[in-house]
Amino acid sequence: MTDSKISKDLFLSILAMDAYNRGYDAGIADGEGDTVVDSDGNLIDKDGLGLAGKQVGAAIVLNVPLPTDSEANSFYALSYEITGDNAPEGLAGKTVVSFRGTDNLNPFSNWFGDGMWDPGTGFLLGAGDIEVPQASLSHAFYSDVLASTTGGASAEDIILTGHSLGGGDIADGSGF
Amino acid sequence: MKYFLIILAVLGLFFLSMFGWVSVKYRLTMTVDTPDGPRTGSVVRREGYGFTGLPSEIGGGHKWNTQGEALVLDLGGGKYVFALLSTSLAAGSFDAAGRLADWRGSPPNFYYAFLGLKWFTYGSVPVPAHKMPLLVSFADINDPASVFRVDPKDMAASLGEGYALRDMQVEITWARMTEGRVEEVLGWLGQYPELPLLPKVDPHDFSFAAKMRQGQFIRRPN
Repeated sequence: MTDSKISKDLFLSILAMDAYNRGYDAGIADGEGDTVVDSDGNLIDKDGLGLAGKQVGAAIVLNVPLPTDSEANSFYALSYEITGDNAPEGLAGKTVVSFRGTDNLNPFSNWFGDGMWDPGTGFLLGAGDIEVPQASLSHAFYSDVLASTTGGASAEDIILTGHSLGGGDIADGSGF
Repeated sequence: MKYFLIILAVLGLFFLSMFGWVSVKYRLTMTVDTPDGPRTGSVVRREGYGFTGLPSEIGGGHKWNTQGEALVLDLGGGKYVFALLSTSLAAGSFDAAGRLADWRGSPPNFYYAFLGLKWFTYGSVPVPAHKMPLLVSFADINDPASVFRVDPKDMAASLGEGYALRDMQVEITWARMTEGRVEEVLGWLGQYPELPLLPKVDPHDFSFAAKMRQGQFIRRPN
């Protein structure tokens, strides 16, 4: 008999991509085309994925706000609660934090109100500069998730994932 | 050395040509029928459009951004209705000739319309149903937890008998962006778009009020 559950690594990869497609500047919900009011009364892009309370597989998007100045610095992250019978092995009951990677390479982005570009606020993480804005924001978000987890979960109950620059955010978010 | 500088300049121009942005201001005007007669309010906001000429896999593509604040309409008797910032009005709103009245355009047309300076003579046009902003109100204007959605097709259901959306219009404008009206009415509101309306939210609270963010009411230029 074949195991119908997807692997832990594959699921974490999906969640790493999911962070690009929710919230502000979402890749799929692109602000174009028709909008609709969802079941919660929120106006969303028809092609959007939705925010807190929405589900992707065994993951439910939690309602943890981004830290102050996240948008101005092109930082975005999501947290999920992994639950249900379909949870990949090793993830059931855990909280996953997914950091969005590079999605803003326009040096003029700040001029049309889209926050600073990623190279200016995050790329130096790769060179070991842990004082760039996205580094402190990733750490703040991780700390908020840890503090808000019910039952006072420990750091071992929180799994981090991310793609591209999101990987750098992971390094800082977890405090190495 | 001379050729090196020329090549460098050409490469620099090529790099810059891959990126760009435009922005345009518009006035949104809403009229609501109330038991005491019609009430009208308006707001001037700015929409920005940026493009990055790189493959989408590495951060390229089109982006829209709305700046300014929600339209605040005083309905009298302590009632207010807010048209939020949560949707882009300009995205996909211009046809090939740059006419705002036709809502089936595409982002490049918005860009051309801006460069052609064709848009400033246009009058106002009705906001179509699929571009209608999210409308909300508060049971108690001093309590962020009392926020509720207002259905534009059935305002009476949430606001009471005699209330109905009569009209919502949009027009391109050179006027200054509206500033301060939302803060005047919602004195408790902060300025950070990513923060929730409520002072504290539980991660498992998926209620309408808990999911609202300050950026739906105010989004100032960075």
